[in-house]
Order: sequence, then structure tokens, then C-alpha cells
Amino acid sequence: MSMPDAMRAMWLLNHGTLRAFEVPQLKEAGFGEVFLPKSFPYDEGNLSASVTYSEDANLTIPADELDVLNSADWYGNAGPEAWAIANRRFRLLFLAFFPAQLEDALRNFQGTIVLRVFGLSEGTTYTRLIYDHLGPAAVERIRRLRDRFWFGTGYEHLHVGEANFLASRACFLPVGLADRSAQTPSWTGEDRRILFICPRIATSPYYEKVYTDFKETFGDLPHVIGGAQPLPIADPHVSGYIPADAYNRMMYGSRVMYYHSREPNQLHYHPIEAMRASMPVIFLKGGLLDRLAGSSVSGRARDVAEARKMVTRIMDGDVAFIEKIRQSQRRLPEQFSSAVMSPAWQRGIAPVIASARRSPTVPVARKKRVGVILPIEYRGGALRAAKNVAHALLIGSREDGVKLDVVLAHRGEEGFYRETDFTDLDPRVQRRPFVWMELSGSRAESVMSLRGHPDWKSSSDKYCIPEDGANNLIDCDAWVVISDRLLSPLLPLRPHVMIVYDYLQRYYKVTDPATAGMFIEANLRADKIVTTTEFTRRDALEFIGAPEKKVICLPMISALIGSARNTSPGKKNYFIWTTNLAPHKNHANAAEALSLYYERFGGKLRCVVTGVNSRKLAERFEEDPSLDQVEFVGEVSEARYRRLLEESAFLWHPALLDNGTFSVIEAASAGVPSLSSDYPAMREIARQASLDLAYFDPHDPLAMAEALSEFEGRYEEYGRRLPTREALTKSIGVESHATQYWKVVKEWL
Amino acid sequence: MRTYGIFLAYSPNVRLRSEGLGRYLGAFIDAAVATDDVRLVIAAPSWLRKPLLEFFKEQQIPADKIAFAGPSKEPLLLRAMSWLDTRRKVIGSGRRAYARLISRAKNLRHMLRRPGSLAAGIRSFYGLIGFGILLALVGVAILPFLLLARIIIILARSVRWVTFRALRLGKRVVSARLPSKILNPDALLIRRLYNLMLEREIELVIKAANEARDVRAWYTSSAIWPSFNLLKAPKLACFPDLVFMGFPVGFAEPSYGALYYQDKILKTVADGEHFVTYSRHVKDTVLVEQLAVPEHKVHVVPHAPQNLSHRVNISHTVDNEAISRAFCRGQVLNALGRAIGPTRGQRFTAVEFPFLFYASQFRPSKNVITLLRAYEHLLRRRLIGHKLVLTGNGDFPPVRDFVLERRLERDVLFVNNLTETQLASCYKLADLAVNPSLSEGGMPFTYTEAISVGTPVVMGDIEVTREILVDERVRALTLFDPYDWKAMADKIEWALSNRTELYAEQRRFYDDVLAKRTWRDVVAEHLAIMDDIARAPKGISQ
Repeated sequence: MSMPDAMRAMWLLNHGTLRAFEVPQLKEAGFGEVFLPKSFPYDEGNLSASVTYSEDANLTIPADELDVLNSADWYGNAGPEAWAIANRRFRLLFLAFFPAQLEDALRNFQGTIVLRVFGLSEGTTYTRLIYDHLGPAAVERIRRLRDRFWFGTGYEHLHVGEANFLASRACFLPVGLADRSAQTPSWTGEDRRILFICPRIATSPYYEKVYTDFKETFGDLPHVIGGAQPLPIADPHVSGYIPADAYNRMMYGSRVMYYHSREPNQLHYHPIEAMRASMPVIFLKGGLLDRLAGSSVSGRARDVAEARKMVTRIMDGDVAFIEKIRQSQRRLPEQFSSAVMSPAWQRGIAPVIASARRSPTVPVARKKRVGVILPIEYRGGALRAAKNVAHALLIGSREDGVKLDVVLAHRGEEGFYRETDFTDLDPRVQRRPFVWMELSGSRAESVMSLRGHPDWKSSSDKYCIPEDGANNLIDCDAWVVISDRLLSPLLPLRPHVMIVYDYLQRYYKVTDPATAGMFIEANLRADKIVTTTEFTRRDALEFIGAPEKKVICLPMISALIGSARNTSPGKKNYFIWTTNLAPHKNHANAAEALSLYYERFGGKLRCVVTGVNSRKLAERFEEDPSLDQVEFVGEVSEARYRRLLEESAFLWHPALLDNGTFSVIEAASAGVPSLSSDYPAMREIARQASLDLAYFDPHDPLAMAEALSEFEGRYEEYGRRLPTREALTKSIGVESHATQYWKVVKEWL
Repeated sequence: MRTYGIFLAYSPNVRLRSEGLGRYLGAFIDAAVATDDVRLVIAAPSWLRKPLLEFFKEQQIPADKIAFAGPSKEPLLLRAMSWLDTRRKVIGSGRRAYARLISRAKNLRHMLRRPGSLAAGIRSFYGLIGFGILLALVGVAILPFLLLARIIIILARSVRWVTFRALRLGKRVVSARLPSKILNPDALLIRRLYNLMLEREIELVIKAANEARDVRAWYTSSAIWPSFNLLKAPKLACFPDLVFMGFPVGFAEPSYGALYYQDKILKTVADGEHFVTYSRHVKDTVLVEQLAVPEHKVHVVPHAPQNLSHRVNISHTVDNEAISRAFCRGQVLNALGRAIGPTRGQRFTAVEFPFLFYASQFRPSKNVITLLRAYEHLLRRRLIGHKLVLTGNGDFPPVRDFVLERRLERDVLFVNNLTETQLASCYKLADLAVNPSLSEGGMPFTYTEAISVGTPVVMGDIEVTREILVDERVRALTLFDPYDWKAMADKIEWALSNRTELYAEQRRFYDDVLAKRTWRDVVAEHLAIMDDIARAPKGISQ
């Protein structure tokens, strides 16, 4: 990795007051060029954020690169181009505690990262928030960065109570105020009102409570309440948005400021700014302001009752008392001045700079390993999908120049899988049987603690972990789970990507409600959800309620069976229907449609039914004599299926809804056209593979029968329009899309 | 200054917020107190005072021009019952706290670790003696505290034992389950006392109201209180509707208490003076035709639009709309965290899914099952993907059963007891508001609530809605036959595909027609009617 050519830093925060102090500090520390973000999350908690272009002129990077940086979303989705520039040009990156921003930086930035923190409410820790929002995988990333990650505390004690992966990387970068300009007004106190700053009253429960408490204690005294109010408050004492002049009159004309906070780790700027303007501030014992001020500073009240007494004395014009407080509080803002803070800040940043100057230590490249897990005893399509994904990861990583082992982990209960089930598996893919092991919540915590996550807390009564007879697949760096069929949450020893082909439970009864709930939970806990149709992606968002960032739709992939296109055109005497007993296969409508096809439309083609357990359908069809042309051959070998398919007139797919069936691809590769139900996933398959499918409404047996009758005369024409095998390989073959699968999984390695 | 009276007699523990009328009342009172020369006297039982003040606060209604008439202190019986109720909850939370304490007892192990390691590390006999002395000194120091704790425990157990014995003895003596009859609020004795208390309270309210000075006329927002007619000054009773008549089978379910309320309403009407309805339809078909009230005594004052935009319209930020939507998502997520019915216990990490929204309590007239039927068709046959968010009680049996039976629990979500901000947020984030109701007293607020925050709406074609929705084009775009689930589904599907066009037409009608009317107009019309009936000679008025 080459080092950037100059000492440049990215200060990815948008706090105006802090920026005024901290950017000059970075320059003093030797980072002459500083990039500042030009946008920030537009959420209601970010009201005091602002954007400035003032530092752009100092940047000596090409204008087009600066344009890319300026248009990037640095709060969680900067994108590869912006990160490439960041890595090429910058050595140091500051960010605030926004989980998505932190995760994006941890994944992509190769220089030194400073996570800037300013304290949380009592009882909350950054450790807890990182586990809750980003999971153990982010903790592992932080650890791997070694001294390229720093926990930049705004107050010296903020690392106390944090886990070692943060506390051990703490550097004290004190919060400072830019020096006061000569134009800033001074306190006059001519307005006999209490100034209380309380923003977001109608939009934040915390501030609503602060407001209510203040009104209860001081509501009968003259007062004005400042702070941004995104929603208006029907209280004439709340100033809301006011022009600068009025703001200055309020800020510096009010008689006294009352500061409510008793939070031990948080401090607002406004009491310090008020003290700096010589406004007397009454504050409460026990908060961070109290800690910084020390017990000798006047204006400190034991409780709100005493605060009220003090405020009343000031409101009544007790000059001696006012002067005593002002004189006493004059010293406190000095602690925040650049003269005092700058040396401490420079001391704090020194080890960070030392690490930023060094070329990062490149860890010894270890061959990565990915486990592709089949959670239940799947056969047929899901087993094929797992093999395809494993194959895609091998191909994708090879094309990316990365050495990768892939393990296909499948259920190892005796007698289920036969060796022949894996004869088509790429020999480079390891195969490993496993059974699920269940752990209680407390045992799960023990496991996580032993693994180096003592601060991880369980949020489920039970967890599952694959028991492979070796080490629970921990040798794999990431897990790819094929489907969401997990009956308890997967213990997050490794990040896991979940490939979900459908959410049939949204449309049909596929399981009991409790189990369906577990499948939903499995989705919510996955680090990433991959779908293979846009329809299923939408279900992940709409049905599961997964955040959009977490879900990605990748192209479908298929290993084409057989070797050549059907070369025996001509009249055929049957069509093929591949099905099983699942409810969405639409047996009732299909039976009625077949009956109509033979009875009303005089259908000439026999119907050959194949598939797992499909013989059991024969009993239902026997009752209708018109269906004697339907032949049930049941589950057949792949070779026999291939022969049956090649000799058929067309493939009939009357299912109601699913993730689409690859049988139409297999048919096409054998030169056989398909007549299919019309639903979104089938349209998507047809689009991706450039298949010219004929469609019908699967809810209308008459329309189905009509379509069969019509297709009887047109299947040859459709057959002639089928894509070639080469075209199919290109559009849907594993090789064609392997890179995309690899890219998604690579993010978690 | 003109003084008007408002009479309310809701029972204890009624939740004004969840009553549609509560919001109506809020808008009414807000507009009344905003009128310069108007002050209000609210005659209400003591138990309504606190909820009303809280309600005014939530609705941001200044209370300085409002006076109360009636007892200010709650009856002892009511307080005793509240205490019993609270006690039950406290005992429950106490047990939980105790369980937490026990689960944290392992921390004691850390406290004992230091002395333990000292003892284990003793390497000489003298050291052992020294440690023994130290232990004895510590023991002597904490002994009084241990003794005190022991005494307190013994005393507490004794009191419990004596109480238990006394109750058992009393039970034997009386040979009946007297304690449970006394202590159980649902017991007959208590119920009778409770009803007597309600009656007495209303008597006191009436007395205080009749003593209130300068009240030109009284208004009541509901016709379920016949005692309203005992007020001496001229009276105007609001008659929203008599929905039981239209849906007798559904409302015959005893839990609605429909027979009780119908009896009260009929009494109020029989002895009443003047009435006001929200719609001409209710006036003509119910009061005049069914209940034979003279036409000139029934006045029609339609609603004003219910504008919710002030709850979600963010201002003075970099991107007001984006911040507003983020804020609303937080509000809805918060509401989902306290969801009920089949939604209770489900986990949501974000509100990024599209949804349809219907805000209403569940009653037989609300047509929720037809909506669910239409929704299931849209979800599973038409694959629209949206969820359906409802504000009614998700434990309401027919609705809950339908949802569970059709396995719709992840798609039909129940959020209950919303704050007005949460309600506005639901409306704003919804792709479409739907109101399938079969009967209402006036045009449902759904139209104006949805349009005011930028969401289009489709509604059942019922007479009260037609009265207000006079624009033929808007009618055609908005209304569907509420008895036809397929028509409802088709309209919803069409509306989702044509949101922009639909909203533009509905907004135009809202701006050009509906928004011209305000709650001040509604209040002014009421006050004008009250002035008229106050001026009218008694013989004519009555």
C-alpha cells in the first residue's frame, strides 16, 4: 500500500463550533490540508450541523477528485470511487459516532481513523452501541486496525467503562472553543428573564422532559427558552427560530442562564459560551459542568430548589451575588480556550500522528475461507443453488486475485445425503457435514466472551451454532447461509450473509406462526441479505422490514445441465410438468385446467408429471376420468429427466408464485420452450435469460386450459426463438456473475 | 366577554385521546378559546379534570380562558379503587424488581473477593489471629444493622400473618366471601356503590353548573348524558349519530353496552331542547325521521378540516422534507414498539416499508373485515407488497382472528393509542390512507388528515361523505363501494398506481373548498346557534 503524498486529513464531522476549534488544531499538528464533508444525514437530531467549503481551496488534489469527494455521502455510503481517492490522498480520518459512517470507514479506509466521541447519557457506552448496531464483526475490524484506530475522547474520562478494544486506543482530544471574536457581544443582563436552552421540545422525548421539568420549577418566573424547534411549540416563551439580532439580544441580554444537565459525560456548549460572555450561569451539582468547574465555582446548586433560589436572587438584582458568580465563572471558559486546550490537544494527537506517518503494517496474508451453509436437509433446487454459490465464490475470488477456500457445510444426519448428490460439486470445494447445536443465552454469552467479546449481550433465549465435529465452522471467516430456515438465531461468531430465494410464507401457509417468526428473526439478524429477484428483494424490505442498505439483489445463476441443444425438432406427443407437493404449485387449478384442456379444447398432448413426491398427486387426479392422459413418473434421475425433457413438446409451469423456476432455463438449454404462470419472478428470469416465455394467469383454470391449447400449436415456433446455449451461459451461467457474488461476500472477510 | 358552557360526563379512566370525539372536542375548544371575547366553563366530574388538562397540554390548547364547574377532588371511593389498581401494578413491578435484585446477587461475589483472597493468603498463625480480630471488629460494627433488618422482617411477617388470620376468621364468621366482595372492584357491592358515586358526582356537577354565572348556553359533545337536560340555561346537544340502529347485530355484543347507551341517547333526545349534527344525513334520517325531533330544533354544523401538518412539518432546516420523514419514521417505529394484538412482540428495526393506513377504532360499522379481505387480495393476488397499518385494538376478536387465520400478522400491523404526532407520522409515511367505514356522523377526518400531510386517500362512498365531497371528479377518484371488497381493492390498487394524480386533485379540492372552513367557523356557528336559542323566548325554544 503506498502512502499518500502529503499530510492530509479528512475531518468528517459537520459540527460548526467544534470545526472552528479543531481544524486549526489539525493544521498545527502538521495536516495542512483538511477535507470537510459537504452533506450530512438529514435527520432531526442533526439540527446544529452545517457545511462549509472554506477548506477546499487549500486542498492540492485534482479538482475532479475533489468533486467526487464533495458529492460523496460520508455518513455511511461514500462508494468505492470516493474511498479510492481518500486512500490515495489522505492519511488521517476523523469521524463522529454514526454507526453507518464508522462501518463504512472501517471497511474502506486504509489510513488512520479517529473516532471522535463527546459522551453519552449515563448508563450507555460506545461499546454497547457498537455491539448493538454493528455487531461483533465491527469489533473485530477495529481490533485488526491496531494503532490505525483511535478513540478520540472529548473529555479525559470518557474511556472509563468502555471495553478494552476502545479504552486501550483512547487519546484525549479535548473539546475546545474557537477564540472569541471581537465582534461578539458581551452580556448586558438588561432583560429580566431566565435564559434556558432547550431545543427539539416537540420532537425529542428527552428534551420534552427537560422542558417540562424546567416549566415546573421556573415556569412562574419570567423566562425565555432558546434552541432550534423544528416543530413549533405553543408556548410564547419558546423563541423557536429567530433572526440573528434577536438571538444575540436573547443570548446576551437575558439576566441569567439556567443549565439543567446532570449527565456525567455530556456537556453542551451554551453554558460555556454564556460564561464567556460573562452571563451568570446557574447549574446543578453532579453534571460534567460541575466536574469541570470544580466545587469552588459559584452558581453551582445542589438541587433545583436551590437553583431556583439562586435564580430568584439574580432576577431580583442582587448585584453582589451576580458579580460573585460572574467573577467566579470567568475562569471556566478559559479552560476551553485554544490557549489552554491546544497543548493538550496536540499532546493527545501525537501518537495518532506517529501512526499516521508510518506505513500501515500489512498483516500476513492468510488464505481466507468461506463457509456455505445449507441449514436444512435441502435437495433439488436449494442444493444446486448452494453448489452454484460455492462455485461462484471460487471463480469470483480467483478473478479478483484472492486465494480462497470454500467449504460447503451440509446437514450430516445419517442417511440423508448420498455421495452421488455431490458428484457435480467443484472438487476444490471442501464438503463438511454438520448438525445444529443449540445454546442457551447465557451459554452463548460464555462462548462470545471466550472468543474475545465479553461485552456482547445475548438478546435471545437460545442460539444455534453448526457442530461440524471440528471447531464449529469458526475456521471460516464468513458464513453464507442458503435460505433463512434457522430455528434460532445464529451465534454471531462470524459475520453471515444470508441468501434468501423467496418469502413464500408471506403468501402461503408453509409453516406455523412461531417458526415463521424465527425465519423473520433470522433475516433481521443477518449481516446482509442477498436475493436473486427484485420481487424477493422487495419482500425483504416490505415483509421483513429490513433496512434498504442491508438487502442486495444479485443475478440468478445456474449451471446448465446437459451438453447440447435439442436437435430433434418435430411433432411431440407430450408436455412435461415438474412439480412437488408444495401448496404454491397450484395443483387444484392445474387439474381443472388439464381437465378443460382435454374435455373442452380437445387437447392432444399427454402430460408427464415429474418431481419429488409428485406420484402422490396421482390419487387426486384419478377421480377425474378426463385426466387419464396425465402420467405420473415421480422423482427421476437427472439423466432420465433430461431425456424426458428433450423429447417433450414444452415445459408447463403452472405454479402460483415463488422465486421463479430454473426448470425453464434447463428446458431452454435442451431446446424446449416453456409455458409459464405469469408472476414477477418468472418475468425476471425470462428477462435475464432473454427467454421468450408464453404466459397465462395461474388463478384462472379456463385461461390456463386455453393457453395450453394455443401453445400446442405454437411450441415449435417458440422453440425456434430460444437462445443458444452460449447465450444462456452468458446471461445466467455461474461464471458470468461470479464476481458479483464474490464482491458481496468479500466485504465481510 | 361571552361565556359558554361545555358539559362532559365521561366515566373515570376514559382515554380522551383514543376517542375520535376527543380530538373533535380539542379542535372545538381550541378554536373557542382563540376567539377574543369568548370564555368557556367546562362542567365535568372531578376525574376528568386532570385528563382534560393533560389533553389540553398535548393539544397545545391554552387553558387560561377555561374555568371548571364541578367538584375538584375525586371521591374517596374512586381514589380507593385507583389505589387498589395501582397496588396491584406496584406488587407486580416489586416482584420484578426483586427478581432483578436476585439476578444481580452475583455481584456480591465480587465484594467478597477481596476479604476472601486475604484469608486465603494468610501464611502464619499470627496472621490468622489478626484476620480473626479484624473479622470480629467488622462483625460487631454491622451487627446492629443486621439485627434491625431482622426485626423489620419479623414485624412485616407478623403483620402479614395477623391480617391473613383476621381475614380468614372474618370469612368464617360471615360465612361468605365478604373480603372478595369488598376488595374486588367488579363485585356487585362495589359496583353499586360505584354507580351511586357516578350519580352523585353528576348531581354535583349539575349543581355547580347551574350556579355558574353568565353562561349563555350549554353545549355537550355527546348525547349519551340525559342529565345534560337538567341544566337550567339553554342547551344545545351534539348528536353525532345513532350507529347501533344501522348495525344491530354487531352492536348486540354485550361488551359494547349498546342497549345502555341507546337508552341514554333516546332519553337525552326525548327530553332535549336543541341538537346539532355533523351532517344533514343524520339530521334527516335519524333525528327527524326516526326520533321525531322537530326539524327546526336540529341544526347542522359540518366539521372543519383536521389539519395535522403542524405535527410533522419541519421548518428552518437544510432539508425540511427529509428531516420530517426521518422524524416520522422514528415516531412510527416508536409506536410499533408499543403495538398490540398480533403485532405485539414483533421486532422492527426500521420503518422503510410502504404501507396503507386506516386510523379508526374497531366497531361493527367500521368495515375492517372487508378492508382486510381487500388487502389480502391485493397482497397475495395483486402482489402490491404494502403492509396495512391500523390503529384499532388488535385484540378485537373478529379482526385478530382474521389476521391470524390468514397468517397476515407480519403485514397487518396494529398501533394503538397513538399521540397526535404519531398519528400524523403514520399518515405522512403511508402511501395511501383508506377509510372503508360504512357509517359515520360526518365525513370522516381521514380525508383532511391525510391530505394535510401530503398523502392521498380513498374512502367508502357513504352519504355523509358525499355531502362534503361535492366535486364530481374528486368523488369519482376517491370513493368506492364499501360493501364490495373487490371494488375497494381495485380502487386501492388504482390509487397506488396513480398517487400523484389522485393527490393533486384531492389537494386542489382541499385547498379550494375544504380549507376555507376553519374550526373558528365551526365554533362561531355553534355559538351563533347557542346565542339564538338563548335569545329565543322560552316557550318558543322549547
